Amino acid sequence: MTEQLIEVAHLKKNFGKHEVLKDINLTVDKGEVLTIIGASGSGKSTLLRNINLLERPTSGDIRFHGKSILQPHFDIPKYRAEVGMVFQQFNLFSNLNVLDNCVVGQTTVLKRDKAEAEEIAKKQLAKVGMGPYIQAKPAQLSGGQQQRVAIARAVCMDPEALLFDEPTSALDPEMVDEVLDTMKQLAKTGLTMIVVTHEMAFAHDVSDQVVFMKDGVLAEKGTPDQIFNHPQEAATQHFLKRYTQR
Amino acid sequence: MRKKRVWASLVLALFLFIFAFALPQNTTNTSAAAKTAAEYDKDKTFRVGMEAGYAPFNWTQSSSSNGAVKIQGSSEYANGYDVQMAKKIAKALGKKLVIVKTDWNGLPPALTSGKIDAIIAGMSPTPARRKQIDFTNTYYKSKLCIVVRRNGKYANATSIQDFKGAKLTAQQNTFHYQAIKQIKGVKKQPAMNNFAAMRTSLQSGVIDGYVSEVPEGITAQNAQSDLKMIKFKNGKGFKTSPDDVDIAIGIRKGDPDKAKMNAALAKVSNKQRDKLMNWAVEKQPKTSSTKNWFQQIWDQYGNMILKGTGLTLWISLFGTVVGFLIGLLIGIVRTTPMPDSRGRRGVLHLIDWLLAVYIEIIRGTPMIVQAAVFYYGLAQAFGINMNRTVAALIIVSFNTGAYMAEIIRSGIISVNSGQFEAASALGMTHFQLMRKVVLPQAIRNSIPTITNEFIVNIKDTSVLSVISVSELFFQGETVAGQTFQFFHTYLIISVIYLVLTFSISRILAWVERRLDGPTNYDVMANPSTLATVDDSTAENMNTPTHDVHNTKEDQHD
Repeated sequence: MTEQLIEVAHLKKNFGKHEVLKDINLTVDKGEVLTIIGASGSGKSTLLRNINLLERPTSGDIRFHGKSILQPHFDIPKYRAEVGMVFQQFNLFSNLNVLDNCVVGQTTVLKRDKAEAEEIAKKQLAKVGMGPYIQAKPAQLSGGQQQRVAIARAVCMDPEALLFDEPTSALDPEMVDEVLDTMKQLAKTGLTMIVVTHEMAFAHDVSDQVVFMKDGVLAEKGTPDQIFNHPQEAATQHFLKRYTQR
Repeated sequence: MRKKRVWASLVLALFLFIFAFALPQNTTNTSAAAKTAAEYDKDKTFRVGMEAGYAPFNWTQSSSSNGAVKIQGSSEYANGYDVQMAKKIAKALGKKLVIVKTDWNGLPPALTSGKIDAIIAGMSPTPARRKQIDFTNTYYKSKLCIVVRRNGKYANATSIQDFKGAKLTAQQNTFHYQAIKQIKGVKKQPAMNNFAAMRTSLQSGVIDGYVSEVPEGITAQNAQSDLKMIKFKNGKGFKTSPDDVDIAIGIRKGDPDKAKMNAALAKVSNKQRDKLMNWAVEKQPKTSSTKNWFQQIWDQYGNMILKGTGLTLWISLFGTVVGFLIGLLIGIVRTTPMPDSRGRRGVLHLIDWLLAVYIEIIRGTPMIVQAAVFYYGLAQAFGINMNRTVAALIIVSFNTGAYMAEIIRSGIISVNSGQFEAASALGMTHFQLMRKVVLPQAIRNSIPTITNEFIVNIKDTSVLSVISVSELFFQGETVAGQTFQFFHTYLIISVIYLVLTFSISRILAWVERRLDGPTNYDVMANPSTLATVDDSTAENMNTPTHDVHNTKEDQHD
């Protein structure tokens, strides 16, 4: 009984004359973890940002629960509250402390009352191991800690899906694991996740579906086993070789 | 008399130019003014404008002694040659005399805009002024003199030609300065801005004398015992034109009372005039020599100066706060992303354009001009008679608003784009993300510049003296004009300005620190558990809830 949550159809995105995405087709089922891998500049992040409408697609369609999110009077803020995003640079609100970072979205967008929002925020912060730091300002935290707060902030909104845009790429190597572990915990809860990453082990272990992007197209997609152990395309093989040889 | 400050004519020219579009001809001007004048005729008052700070012609005093007249809207009194003359005229007109204290540059516009009925302020009927306003016959004839050091080389001069080789100067933009070239072989020095500067230069020996007029000369030698005024007998002195040395009452063109005023002036003989001037010189505020200079000034004018300080602080505070709100609003509007709908986009473009025009006009013109155009212009064009302080608050607010708009806009632009993205990714609308995330950061980043703006406002309110707002500088001008202790008065005024600006920069620096929060790294809810929890966080990543229990237990202990 799989239900299609997000559907990308014939998506194209140009920046000026430069074609970044060329005819992308993709479906993500509810509860599924999709990993997007590929070289830098292949369009992975742009695809993710289009799904969240941080970029406006040039043509094609994106459907959420079967409804196009590109129609004229679509409620974009509501959609964004349902599809959260975690950024490479964390982007914690630097004027707010850790707790308020997780509360502000709930109170302004979901109109939860402050006490309830704080309770939820504390619970989620505890889950990512940031419970003791609720009074800290983002600048006082390490990158790994900030990213865990950013994940908690997104989860507090009770999203149906979470988009991760290279969540560990800006981290020092010793902090990568704490963030990946947090994401693994989340995957176990049945949350729908689309993850752009260079962490091949994570992609292999956690994903239900892996897609390999090259030059703005989906060069290959399949299960982790298919992609990592039996890649069909030469480009995929070439790309993975560089990672596994390291 | 004084032709100083080209400013007056510049300001006047500018707003006449602007309002020439609204009002094609002077006829409309005078009819608007005449209307307001007619209204006041019903009140049977004769409103006379003067600086009340140009002794012995006119000065401000705190009591009604010696026949002083109360200054409109103030607890102080005006007296002097001009005031006594004004009393005679008012009596002849059968009206009640009202003294309106007005800055020198503000006198002609105040008259043409109908805020006063006459200028009796030691003003000479120069041809330039005659283009704007009319004058009665002369009510005092002045004479040029030279002020020298009492023990100096020129103390016994009797003719202007005795000053061969002397270093002389006079006030800028006055006929005094032009007259120096009548002396053969004189060493003409650059003109100076005010009498305080000339007296100080004279006392210190930088110059050998300065050209002035008899009343000022008498005052100078009375106020400073080391100075001496030299008068010249007919034929030995300067040749002057009546335009310069005559002093007349300025009135609106076509004033029906002109004949009555001239008749009243004719009754005062030359002898009576000289007598009245001597009386004025004698009665003008003096400095007793028993106390030190600070006490002298403070005892007599401390209240005035404090009131001025209060008003300066109030205007600049109000202006900064309201200007900040205006700037905030404009900053938000101007950084709004373009909407998708074409109609809305058009509206936003239009608003954006209008705001840009507002900012450019306000930033591109001096506040002193804005004040004159706004205050006198409104009165002249539409007969709106606004309270000076209200006008000042409006001007400073709008002026500050234009600068604040750009300050806030740059503050918003400087906020990392990731902050915008993260907030919109949470589902916040533009307004929500602005309020909760971007503006707090933008404002925090702007505080140093806002502090700057506040400090600039404190100092720049001094230009409001052009519309006679009795702020600190205006009060200082008055006090200095009366005590003739320019240096000392302005020293006190500058110390007050410094105290104000320094306090404000300290207060806002404190606000800045408060907003930043503590700088130490005790980021945990309970600092004593820092080490333990850090360890447990690292060890128990797979079961992250564990460390929370830890903290709770620790806190219970």
